[in-house]
Amino acid sequence: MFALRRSLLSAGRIARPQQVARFSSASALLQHKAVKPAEKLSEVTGPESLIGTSAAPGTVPTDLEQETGLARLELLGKMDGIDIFDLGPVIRPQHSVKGTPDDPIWVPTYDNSRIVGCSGTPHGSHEVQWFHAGVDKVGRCDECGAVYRAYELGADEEAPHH
Amino acid sequence: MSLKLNIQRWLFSTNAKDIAVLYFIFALFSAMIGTGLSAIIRLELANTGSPFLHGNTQAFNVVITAHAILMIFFFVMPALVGGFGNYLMPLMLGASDMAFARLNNISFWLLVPSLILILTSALVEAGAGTGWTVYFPLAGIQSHSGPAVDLAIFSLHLSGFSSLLGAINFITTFINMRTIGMKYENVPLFAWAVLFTAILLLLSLPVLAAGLTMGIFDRNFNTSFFEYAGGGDAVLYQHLFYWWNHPEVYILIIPGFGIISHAVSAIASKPVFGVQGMIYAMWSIGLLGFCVWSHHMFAVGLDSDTRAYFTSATMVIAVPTSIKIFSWLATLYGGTIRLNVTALFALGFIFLFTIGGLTGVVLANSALDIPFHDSYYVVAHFHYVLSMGAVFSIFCGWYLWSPKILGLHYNERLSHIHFWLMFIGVNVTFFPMHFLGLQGMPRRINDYPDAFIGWNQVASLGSIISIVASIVFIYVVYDQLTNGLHQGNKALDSQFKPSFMGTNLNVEGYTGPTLEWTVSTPPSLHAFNTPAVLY
Ligand code: HEM
Ligand SMILES: [Cu+2]
Ligand SMILES: [Zn+2]
Repeated sequence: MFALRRSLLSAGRIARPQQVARFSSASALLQHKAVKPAEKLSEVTGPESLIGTSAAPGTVPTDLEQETGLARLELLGKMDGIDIFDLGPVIRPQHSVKGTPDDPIWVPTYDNSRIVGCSGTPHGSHEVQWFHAGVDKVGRCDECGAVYRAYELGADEEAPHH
Repeated sequence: MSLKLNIQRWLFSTNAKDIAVLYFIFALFSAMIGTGLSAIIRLELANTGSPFLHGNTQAFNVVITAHAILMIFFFVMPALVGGFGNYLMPLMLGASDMAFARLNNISFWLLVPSLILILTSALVEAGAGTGWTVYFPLAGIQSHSGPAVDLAIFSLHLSGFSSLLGAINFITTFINMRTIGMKYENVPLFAWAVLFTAILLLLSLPVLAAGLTMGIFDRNFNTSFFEYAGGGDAVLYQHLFYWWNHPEVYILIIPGFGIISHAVSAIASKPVFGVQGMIYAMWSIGLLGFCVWSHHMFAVGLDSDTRAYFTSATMVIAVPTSIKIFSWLATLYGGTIRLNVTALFALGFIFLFTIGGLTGVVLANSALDIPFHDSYYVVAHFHYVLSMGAVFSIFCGWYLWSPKILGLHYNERLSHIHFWLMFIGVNVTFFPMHFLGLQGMPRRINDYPDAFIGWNQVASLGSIISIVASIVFIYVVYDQLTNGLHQGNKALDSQFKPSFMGTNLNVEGYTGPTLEWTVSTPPSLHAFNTPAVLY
């Protein structure tokens, strides 16, 4: 339950704004408990509701009928047009300006640091440089000097930005 | 770890890193057998009058066949694609593993029976004395009765199957497993190299398999695909074989290109010059590699228009190849060059591979190839591109990445000794073969006129030097595995420190163009807990 909520929340944090809005209503529903298998994202109430309905005897199950767990959550999300795990290209509206030590680019992580690749500002303007951006210590790109800093997902506080 | 856990980890492994280690062990094992066989070849050719095998020409032919197959299928391909490819490609893409982890296990374990089959083939009856090309009718039932050739063909089938499964895996991994935000243009050159290698394997191996299967049928089931008496055509076999074999030589060298690109960038402390050009060069080498196969067949009686086409098409490949060479030189130019052993092998590769490419362009002239074909000039050519191209790139990759992979450092002085012995050894062995070829000494013979004694003795001396070099390398690896910790954990330092250009602000020491250096040393089996992200 906790892991599920955490991934929902974290996905919500880095999702596009209008999705965040739709998301918070979905995650609000997580508070309720029911064992009925969800057939829509809005019906998801927790891991118990993410069990596939299975196919009628003698038929081949569809993905919707047999997916279970996080894969089902992802599928239900797709049906509502929401990319649960945010697998699309990185969108960084707040990053159209270069990160600085005072105003770094914030990077979500499950650890105390994250490997970050910088391709410059705007995106793609220099050879990619990979390095670690820490929660306690920033990461800085050798090529363009942009500063990145990680924040831990699932920690109690809200994200340090906006 | 208990025996059961060990069996689970190594026999049933689905982890690309463990499987890569298995590939490295397998490659080292085969390389040692292959080297032993090369010693037999050079001892036999050290003088006239068959001094070693006492006139047993079939035994000599079996030895050269097994030598070539072991080196190509069981040393170079497993080391470059199976070893470096499996270990580094997922890391460079930011992937936790290969796309099909269990398929990966099957790919490796198919190679073991394949190796057993080829070794058995050399040991039963009179062995397969066909040469690694397995030409018919020499490989037919009249010339090679008994099961030896069938075993050799089954061995090639199995290893081909292993490569095909691996190729599917690499292509899927490349397309599907890149980390968040990583576009194709951000993928490092080695991963590109493995992708192109996999595509070449996928498109060429089925044709070899078909040719070999037709051979099996000719031998055992009374068909006559390659048998003139039954209306077949032996030249058809050569077309099928070389449709695969020319792409195969690029399969052997393109991963090496990838390794050299990374090494050159590391030793010069610069990003590779012209990355896009490098990618397009590999792509066009791969594509053109399918259009030139008959340059191996200039002597079979092709008409002159066909020969003119294959001559020109072959020479066109020199263009993308030169783009790569010049881009490496441009990467080195102006860099702060660190002359460590990785650099020596990378520079050695660039220098010697260029010589091999040059003799290739000579051979590509159909008129010149009529006298050169099947002479020692060809042997010199392909050893310059393979023994000094592909093999140097394996050593280069080992010295560049093994401290990262193992977390254990090697003895740098010994590694320099290894390089110089190897460099001298292979050149003394193979350079004189150009002269022998120009003077008309044919390949695949175990005895020769006295006029050729001089350079043959030099070549045999050189082979002893290279064998000593190989023993030094085995000691370097042994020393690395047993004393590596005392040599300090220098995975990053030996390649990247001191860095005069970077910042030292970062959490971990490394900031640079490829992902594999950012993970822990040695990388944990599941290297990316939070996936890397490219902004
Ligand atoms: C510029 C690039 C190259 C050109 C123009 C070229 C050209 C040729 C030609 C014309 C032959 C046939 C010679 C004969 O049998 O009469 C040949 C043979 C051969 N080449 Fe290359 N080559 C090139 C690169 C390579 C590379 C990169 C490799 C491997 C890494 C390679 C490996 C071989 C091998 C193994 C043979 C002998 C096959 C056999 O008959 O057993 N070549 N090459
Ligand atoms: Cu060729
Ligand atoms: Zn940057």
